[in-house]
Amino acid sequence: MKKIEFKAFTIKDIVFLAVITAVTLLASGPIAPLVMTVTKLGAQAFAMALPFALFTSIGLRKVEKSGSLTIIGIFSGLVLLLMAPVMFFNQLIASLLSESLALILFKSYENKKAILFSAGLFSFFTIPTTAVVNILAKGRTITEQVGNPITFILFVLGAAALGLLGAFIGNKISNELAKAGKL
Amino acid sequence: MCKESHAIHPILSLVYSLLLFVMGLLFVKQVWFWLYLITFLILFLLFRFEKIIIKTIPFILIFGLIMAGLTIINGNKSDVLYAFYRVLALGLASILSISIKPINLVRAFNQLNIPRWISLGLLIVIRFIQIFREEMRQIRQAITLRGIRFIETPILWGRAFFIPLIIRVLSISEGLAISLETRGFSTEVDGSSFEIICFKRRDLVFSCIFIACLTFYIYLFFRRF
Repeated sequence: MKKIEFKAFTIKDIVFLAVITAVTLLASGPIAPLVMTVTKLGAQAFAMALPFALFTSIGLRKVEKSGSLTIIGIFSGLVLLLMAPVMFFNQLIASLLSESLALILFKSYENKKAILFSAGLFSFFTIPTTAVVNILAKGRTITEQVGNPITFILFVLGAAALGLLGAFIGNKISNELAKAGKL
Repeated sequence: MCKESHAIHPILSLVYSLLLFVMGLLFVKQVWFWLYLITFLILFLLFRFEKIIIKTIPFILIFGLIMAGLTIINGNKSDVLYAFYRVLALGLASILSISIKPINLVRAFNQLNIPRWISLGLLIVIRFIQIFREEMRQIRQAITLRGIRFIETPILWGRAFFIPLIIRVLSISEGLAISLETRGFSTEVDGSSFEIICFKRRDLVFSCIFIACLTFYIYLFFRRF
């Protein structure tokens, strides 16, 4: 049975992951402030799913090493820590969950489905963390956070669908770049 | 050698910013929330944060009004007020975190023996957000000059935007990696720092007043239980 391999990251890998994180944050920048204080659970994940999945999937295609998504999560979380401190835990836990699940299922990023799954569901996994943070920091119950169940289900499904769409587009772009010998 | 500056220790600023934000969210529904805001604003003014406060106020007010406006759609009067208060809590916490110079934060991280790749990555992300903002603007300008419009041909627009952007990401990151490697940066070797970030008397005074004020409000909050 194939095992999950952990290879050491070189300075080149770290630099690329940091630069792709900067682009991801920049791309999601115009949307983030609009949904940051929305009280409905899942709204933030829904809004962030597409840009996050698109750029992180390109990052994972270039650095196909276990732990790459967690590193992107740490970098984006550290930057967001300076603006909205709770977002650090949100990003870190979501990236850990998404990457762990993808690696358990597919073992490595050599399988493109692993990249699609890992990057695509990154935003989706911020939902449980947001719920826990809201309970602990704001004292809001799950029922309060969910509000209208239909809206909540639409947000959750939308976050997953947009995330997977973003990762798919990211993979397409990566394929074109790989064909041109740039990736 | 320690450098004299008005800034509070970066790690302290980060921790206090986190505390202010979390506590601010907890206190949003309290009648004395305004007092909480004013207390810490006075503390920040006493410790010479006035320039950052002036810079932050317009952004926080506009952002707060937008948030309150959006909450009107499906919320009552108190929800609108709390949405505005949440943005104020965020703004209050951001005053401390904005005051941190990225390089000083990285130096403080190094002193705390936080892995070099984390501090290096953080510095790159912060630096490159500004660089790529300009890159994106130039790419969008080029797209406009070529007459490609997102509304008319979204797929073509996407290709014209993302492919050059990713190629720039690749070339910039490769150049930067080579530059770092030739300067002896590595993920395995510990780095040294030209400047030491010290814990000063100013940090101690700020910490004492900050903790005393925060403890008072935490007491007020839990007294009702």
